[in-house]
Amino acid sequence: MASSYCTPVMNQGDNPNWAELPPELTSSILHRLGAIEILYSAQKVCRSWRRVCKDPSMWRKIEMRNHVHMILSFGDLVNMCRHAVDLSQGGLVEIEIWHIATYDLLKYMAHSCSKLRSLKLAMCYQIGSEGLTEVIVKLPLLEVLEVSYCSLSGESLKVIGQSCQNLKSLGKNCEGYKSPRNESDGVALAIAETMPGLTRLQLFGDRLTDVGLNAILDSCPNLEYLDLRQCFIVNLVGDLEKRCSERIKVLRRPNDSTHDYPFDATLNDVDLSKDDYSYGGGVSDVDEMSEDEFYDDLSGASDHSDFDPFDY
Amino acid sequence: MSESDLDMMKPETMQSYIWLQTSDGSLQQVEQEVAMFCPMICQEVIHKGLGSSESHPISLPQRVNTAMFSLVLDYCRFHQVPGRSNKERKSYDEKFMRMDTKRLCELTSAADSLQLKTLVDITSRALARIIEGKTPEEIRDIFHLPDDLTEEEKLEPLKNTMDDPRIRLLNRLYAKKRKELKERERLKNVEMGEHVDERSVDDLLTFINGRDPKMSKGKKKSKKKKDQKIDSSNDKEGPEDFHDKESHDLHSKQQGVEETGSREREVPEDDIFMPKVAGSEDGDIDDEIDPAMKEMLDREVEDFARRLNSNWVCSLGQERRPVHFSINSNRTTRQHIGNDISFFGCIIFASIVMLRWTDVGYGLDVKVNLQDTIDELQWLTQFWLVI
Repeated sequence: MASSYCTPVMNQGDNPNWAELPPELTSSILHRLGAIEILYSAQKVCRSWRRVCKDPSMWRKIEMRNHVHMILSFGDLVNMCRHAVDLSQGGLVEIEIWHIATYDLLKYMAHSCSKLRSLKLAMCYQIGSEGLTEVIVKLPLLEVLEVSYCSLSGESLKVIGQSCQNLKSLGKNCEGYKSPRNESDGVALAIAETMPGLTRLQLFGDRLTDVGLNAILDSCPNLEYLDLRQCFIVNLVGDLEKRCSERIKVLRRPNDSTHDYPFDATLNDVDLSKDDYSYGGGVSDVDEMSEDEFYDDLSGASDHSDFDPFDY
Repeated sequence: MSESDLDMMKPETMQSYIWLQTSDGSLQQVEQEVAMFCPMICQEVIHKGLGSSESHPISLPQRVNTAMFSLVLDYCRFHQVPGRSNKERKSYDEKFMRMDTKRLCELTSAADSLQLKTLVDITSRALARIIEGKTPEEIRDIFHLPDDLTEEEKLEPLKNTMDDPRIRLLNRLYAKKRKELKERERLKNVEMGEHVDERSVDDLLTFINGRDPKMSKGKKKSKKKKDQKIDSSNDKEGPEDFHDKESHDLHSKQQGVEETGSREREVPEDDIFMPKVAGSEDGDIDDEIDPAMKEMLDREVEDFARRLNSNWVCSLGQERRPVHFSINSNRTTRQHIGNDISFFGCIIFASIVMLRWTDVGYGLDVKVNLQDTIDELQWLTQFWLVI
């Protein structure tokens, strides 16, 4: 097991620290870095890491989020994503892309990975509602769909819902307004009409009304998790409130804290100088996993003396 | 009392222990509930009946030596106590993880062979955090990994495809940002640097650097709006709820392209849709303009976008419309200072002024802040006096 390399890089003739770790463990550690960092740094470290990084098992779940360094051009990032999709060799099961999803890229991905189960897109301004729909209807096995800060109309959602019968979790997030001018049940009604199998729904910043919410509750009997943060038109009082709290296991209300929300939750029409909303500090990809969720597993006791986000 | 009862009352039977042997031969006696926290040990006890006596200890896997086992036991001892809050556990783990990388690797390995998933998780996370953001060389250094890849292997997979004009446009923008970053570094070393407006530096740096999603969306918006109106989302827009942005897309696309085109036109040699020499660095295009001036231009443009956006947010409240940046071709060039740099500066200067007033002309509800314009002009003049 101990390997010695006679290169000048080695310090004091030490064995590599990393030699202790078996490939599966290396793989799971490197996977936490996210696709970009794997392709850009990790696979260029040494031969054994390269082997691990090229293995298709590393690419079953792809996360392309972190563009912190901005060293790479947009085109490079798109290429990297394409390359990552190739490396999965058709075994891609989950993918999450922030910013760089173009129509061509998604079409390519849908074509080679029609068995995709989970698709999460955020801040992809390069693709519009119709383009997105066209891609998503090619993924009939989709179970999890999250579209945040991208354009996706109610009409499109209907089409998607009809085509993706297995959809269990939907997220459609957009910027919230404290006092929205136009209400719209387009999204809510589309969901009610076409997605009866939903167990998890996140509609951050949506403009749905009580009508829309009731429609969803009527049509989605399996709904267990509902996130309505920053949906300031719907009025969660009285019967509606009762209905929600009875039916739904985990309910996030419009005014609930956004501290565990991965995107910027600044309201559009609120003075930025106010300190009402917390701007989290920089969070690295590695830390994105909800740590409180992790600790819930550890303790057997249900100790809710701290404010914990709910486990789901 | 029967003999069995007496046995029961012996103090040793009050606390049961498990016997284990580490990979380097040391025999250990560990409290049962602590040791059983490890699934692997649990299995050995239950399925193979080992560990109940000194003569039949459980042999720990090869990756678990005495030192590592001691650490693992500390971890188990803390966490197997049921009454602790999540906060306590988290805080303990954070302290626990503070060790040198060699031990961290060994611990990860040991935890893995003992199938202690939660410990593997936090150690893995700690290792990933160490690796994150570092260059391959730095990583090799930290973990003493060999440098055994060929140069070619180190360079892939970045191949530029220059066929898509949209991608080229976006590449240019990104390249500009990159250059700015470099120039900022350069300027900091030059004396002239002290006169650079600090405020913008920070703004730009945060803008470019570490673009965490949790940071101010407003700033991101201005960049994204610029990018986004340049793109062509090739679809026919239906009614939708994404803030009317997309409906401006097709309309603004032309303007946007025009804008970028004309921005590039300031540097005489370039035309966006003329196929460039393959593989040429984006940076070449911008070499004509003095770097300091170019930097100032871009900073100015960013500033402008941000101001307009923030004006809108405050004054209009609801609607958010893209910033139309169209520089039209009938800009005036005022020549009042005789040298090259100033000439370019004037063009830029003038075009910025034109920007503001033409936007008003287009009938957008922009509250053009006169004071702002004056401030900017003053600031710009200040900058030039330095040159």
